[in-house]
Amino acid sequence: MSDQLYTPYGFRDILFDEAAALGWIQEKLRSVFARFGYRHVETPLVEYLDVFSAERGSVAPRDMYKFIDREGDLLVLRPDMTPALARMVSLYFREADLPIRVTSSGSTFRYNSRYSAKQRQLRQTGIELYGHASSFEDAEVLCAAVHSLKALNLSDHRITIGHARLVSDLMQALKVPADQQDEWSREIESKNVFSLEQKDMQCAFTEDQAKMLSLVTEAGDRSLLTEGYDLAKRLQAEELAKDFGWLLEVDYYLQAYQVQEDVLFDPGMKPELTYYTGVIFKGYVLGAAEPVLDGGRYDALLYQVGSSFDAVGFGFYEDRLLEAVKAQKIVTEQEAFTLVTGADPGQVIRTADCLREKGELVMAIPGLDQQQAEHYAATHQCARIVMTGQEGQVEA
Amino acid sequence: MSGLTIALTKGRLASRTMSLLENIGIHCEEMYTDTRKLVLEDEGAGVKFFLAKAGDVPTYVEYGAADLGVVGKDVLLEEKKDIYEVLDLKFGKCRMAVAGFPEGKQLLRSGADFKVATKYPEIAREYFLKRHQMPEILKLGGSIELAPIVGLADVIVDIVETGSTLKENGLVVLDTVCPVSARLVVNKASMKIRHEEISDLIRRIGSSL
Repeated sequence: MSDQLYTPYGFRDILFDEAAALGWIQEKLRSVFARFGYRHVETPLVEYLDVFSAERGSVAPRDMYKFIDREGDLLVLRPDMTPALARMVSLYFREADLPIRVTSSGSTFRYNSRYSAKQRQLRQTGIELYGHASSFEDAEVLCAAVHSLKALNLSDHRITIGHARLVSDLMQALKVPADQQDEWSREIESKNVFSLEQKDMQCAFTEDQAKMLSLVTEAGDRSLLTEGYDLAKRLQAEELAKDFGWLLEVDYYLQAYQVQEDVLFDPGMKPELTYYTGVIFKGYVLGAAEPVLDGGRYDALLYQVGSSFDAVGFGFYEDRLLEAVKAQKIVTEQEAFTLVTGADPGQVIRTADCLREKGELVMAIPGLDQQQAEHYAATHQCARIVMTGQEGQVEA
Repeated sequence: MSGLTIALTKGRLASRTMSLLENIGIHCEEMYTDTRKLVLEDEGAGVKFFLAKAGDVPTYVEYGAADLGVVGKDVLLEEKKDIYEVLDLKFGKCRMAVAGFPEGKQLLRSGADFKVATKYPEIAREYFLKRHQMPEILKLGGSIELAPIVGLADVIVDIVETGSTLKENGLVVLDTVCPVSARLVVNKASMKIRHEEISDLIRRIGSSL
């Protein structure tokens, strides 16, 4: 069998059960998003490279699938939905149309293996809300994310919320030299309290400064944000105080939505992509090793493509949701087929047609005996067998 | 909700970790018997344990097969997994060092080409890259000290505890790469989903140190 063909590295086939579960996931997400007023749009799989150029702050250029068309233009397989959707809304909508709520699904492609163990095709479904930067919008999008996880019946889930500017504003406030900022933010992100304590000693921080540094490695609820806000004020770090203040506003609306149990504030979070300018968040679910959703506010991205819109949004990684759905043994809806068989093909067709008319899902296979039919039904998702030309029917 | 799972590094780190956990009321008598079971449990505290090879602990934790793990900083630096490193447990202390014959010091400074033998190619590569050197790095499985003695490599990058093996073979430490000790690591998703339980455990372990 040396001439068998396989999928390329990083790509995979999805067979019946998984495909059905994936379809179920997509349907659930779509119905939640519709309930929040998000309308479906589609953008092409292929875009000009410019849409994702380095200054947009999307996926690193070397992680994209690039190619050249006959006209000599540089194209990419979209590595990320957000810049493509930003391109679309800036093309068709004006200030007067705001706010605009869109949802879109499709595959994205990245060479980067860090995003998933090996997969290079990432199926995503997400929403984007274009409007005027407000914490109300942030909270709505976050709430839609929480409702989606609940609609999928997933237990043990959490959405962590941070602010894209918080860590860099903190380093500004603590006057960390520019060449050390990368290392600091890495250690804050990985909650390496020990190494930060050492830095604290080296820098001879004041009590408030040291408290602030340890606060950003913690995660918690409103009280953590209030503490951060007060500390920032005392340190006269206005930008930092503003970041905490914004998160406090988001929390205020999340309380109105009654989803504060499902979220956790994590001030030390690092933005995954550099176009994020405000709130950032990730969703974690028991059973998926990596975050199942990723999103945030990205106000500057649309200014770059000639729009004055602000925006917030997120995407679910469907493959990771599928992993969690399987790990948590969530019951997804599966089709149940009826197997119609019998010695006379004509009669098989007539019976099958009649059942299809009534809306049944039918597989018609003439010529099976009872034993063959039972075996086939058991391995092909058939809940019922109809033997034509015999008295009565046989339930599988 | 099921209990937490902890991955321990086989050997001395495991017994040190167990005595640390006993201080905060987590026991596992089975660990001291010659059981063949791979996963052990303290049912009262709702904690499961398993032993793994040092290099594998970060992988178990990254993929969430264990919520927490105890492993040396050397392994974390080498494996570079996407996990939280939350506590220095302050045992298993030693250092990562560059070692070789005394004349190696000249060689490291000279800018001449040389060979490095190590179990930690990633740490070695980064160390020399910072010094703008790109020596050939040979990955070995063990007995690294042998390499300079039989002429396979000029210097080695390895863990040094007391330095007695080096001394007996006429080798010396040429430079320290970084100090090493056992660290408590946490799976990123677990840290969020089970934030309260895990922060509580970290606090208890931290204050018992």
